Amino acid sequence: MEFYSFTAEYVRKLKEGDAEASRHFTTYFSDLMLIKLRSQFRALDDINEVRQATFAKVIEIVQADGVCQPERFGAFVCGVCDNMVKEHRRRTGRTEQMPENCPEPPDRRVDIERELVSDATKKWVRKVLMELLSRRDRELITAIFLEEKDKDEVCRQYGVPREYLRVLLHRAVRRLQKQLAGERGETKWIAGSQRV
Amino acid sequence: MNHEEALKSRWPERYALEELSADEREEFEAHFFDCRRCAEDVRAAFVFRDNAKAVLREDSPPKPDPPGWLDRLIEALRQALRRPAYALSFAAMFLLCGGSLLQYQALKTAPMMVATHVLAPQARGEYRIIEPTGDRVALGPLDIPEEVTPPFSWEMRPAGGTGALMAGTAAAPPKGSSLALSVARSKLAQGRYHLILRGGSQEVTYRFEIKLIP
Repeated sequence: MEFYSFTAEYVRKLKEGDAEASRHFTTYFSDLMLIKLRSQFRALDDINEVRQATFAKVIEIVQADGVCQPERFGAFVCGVCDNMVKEHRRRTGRTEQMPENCPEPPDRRVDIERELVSDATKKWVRKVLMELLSRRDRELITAIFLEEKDKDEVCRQYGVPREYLRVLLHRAVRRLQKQLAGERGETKWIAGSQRV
Repeated sequence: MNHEEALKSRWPERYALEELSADEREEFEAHFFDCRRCAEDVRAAFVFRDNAKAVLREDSPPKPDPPGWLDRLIEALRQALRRPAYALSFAAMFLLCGGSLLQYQALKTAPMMVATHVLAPQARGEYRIIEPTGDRVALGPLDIPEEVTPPFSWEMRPAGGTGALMAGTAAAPPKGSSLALSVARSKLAQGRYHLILRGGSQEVTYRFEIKLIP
């Protein structure tokens, strides 16, 4: 993920349709919106609709010079996204009575979870789980993420405080980031200045 | 909320663990949409969570079907009779059905070996030949001209290509240290590459050619 500074220059480039700025805008906020919206929608289609509506609305406001604080552009996008959620709910809010004995609708959350999953990343996550975490920590992660057990119950069962889960997730994520950085090719400093 | 407060209270982790109230969630979302470091931490936490779920699902053996009514009846009869022969049958059935043991595939990693290759700015047409032998290749130490000053940004592309294969940034090096780029060998196919280092509105190009040893 490339990190841009949100400045007046960034907003100006977006207004002008600069290819690099536009590409960054959609790539950077696409995943953030997916993460934000998954707690509000169960279907990926709804998330995609809100994302597209947010992108369109932000560009519309940028074109109209409506961004007052470019340095808070991220929070502005977040606010527009919240408004698009409300509009989407208003538009799709009419519900029909479901007939009795109709089958339960399929759980679409799996589609949402697949958005951030890739074979390459799974390889490194498997390495973190297998080689870098203890057996107990693997069991905790299984209980919380796969089996979705109540966290207080899991903490009681394993005799750990809630803070332990947060630290465990933090450690696992840092290890994954390190593995991925190594995979991408990282710059590093080496001692001395050897010439062959 | 600022970044330091968010880190201290572990908000990225609490967000990924769904521990925040609705108001807290709203406040933190407005923050990480602005704060790139928190955004990366949040994204990484969800990437880990979803991929870990997929991995654990793949690596877990399928759960056995629960016993039907006939099996339960037979089991109840066995318990009631408590005869040694039936006790042995029960034990055998438990071993067949019982316990969902998590099994993980063992990952074998070859020892990491890194060979270094000093790179200096080459004249056009000259390519430093590199024959990688280890799992990773260290491109460097880089001979950096004085006019190219930190902080640096870099990109690597195939010679003659316009798209970058990989890119990144680097801050000023510690005193007495040099800059090298460590790349997984699997990322470099045989061929010619340009490594472009930029800093202080100047840039320098290092040309190298990967030759794979058959």
